[in-house]
Amino acid sequence: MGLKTEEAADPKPNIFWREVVLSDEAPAKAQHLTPPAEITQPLNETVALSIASKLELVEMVELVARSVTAKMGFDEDDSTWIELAIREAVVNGILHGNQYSADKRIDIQFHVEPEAMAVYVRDHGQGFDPTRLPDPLVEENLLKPSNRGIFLIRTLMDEVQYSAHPEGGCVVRMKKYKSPSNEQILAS
Amino acid sequence: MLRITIHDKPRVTSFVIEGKLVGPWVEELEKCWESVLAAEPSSTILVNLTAVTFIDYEGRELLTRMRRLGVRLESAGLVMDAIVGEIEAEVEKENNHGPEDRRSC
Repeated sequence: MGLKTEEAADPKPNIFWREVVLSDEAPAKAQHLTPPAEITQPLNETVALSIASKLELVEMVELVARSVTAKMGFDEDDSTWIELAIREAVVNGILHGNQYSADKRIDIQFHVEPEAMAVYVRDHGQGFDPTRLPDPLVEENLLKPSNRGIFLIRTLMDEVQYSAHPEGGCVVRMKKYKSPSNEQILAS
Repeated sequence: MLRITIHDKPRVTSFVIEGKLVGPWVEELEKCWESVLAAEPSSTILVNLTAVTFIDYEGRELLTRMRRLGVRLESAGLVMDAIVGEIEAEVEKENNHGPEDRRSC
């Protein structure tokens, strides 16, 4: 009994107790301390680069591409193929699309999805019809060193689409799906 | 969304950053910066942060490292001005007194 009286007389334990309970019972107040899902889960994000029409900047795009594919968990081979396809698309944009024009840019977007990476490369040139390009596999073209970029991109990536941008230029959309891991193959 | 626009002029390279400089995507800016440093070590580098909407700890750390190596930071708006102001003050303090970790050695 005496103990109870002491507790009632001393407000400190109750205040302390109330503070503890309040922090437990008010998760809504503590929610602002939790980073938004977009920060804790960086997938479904987009990283975009815009560069001048200079071949010396292609390496920068490759570095960024490699960094993104590594974060996404692509294996070494797929990362290399993606990097090579992006390189070809950017070089094509600089050479054939923008024709080295200093005032025209190349825009690259990396769309990070849970199971795939989509890459858009846009130039600001006159555009072209990819169906009218010579086939590098035809016998008379086999030894020609040119016109292999698009063939490479189509070979290395899972999906490739060419389209004309409404504001001018050509857009190459490439997509690469992650290879299933050994665990996933065994589970299936 | 993080967008990095690189303006490459003689002796000056500027990075215009838009969107959120957060988490693992901070490394993409670092890759671009390293690439320019490797290609043109004497180039003046500007980082325009006026269209940045959010910076997390990693982003701030990268900007501090960049500032230490002479990169100029341009900002606008209360939040970005405050962050860049803090970075400038931190780097200036280090230049005057040395970083705390050096003093402790």
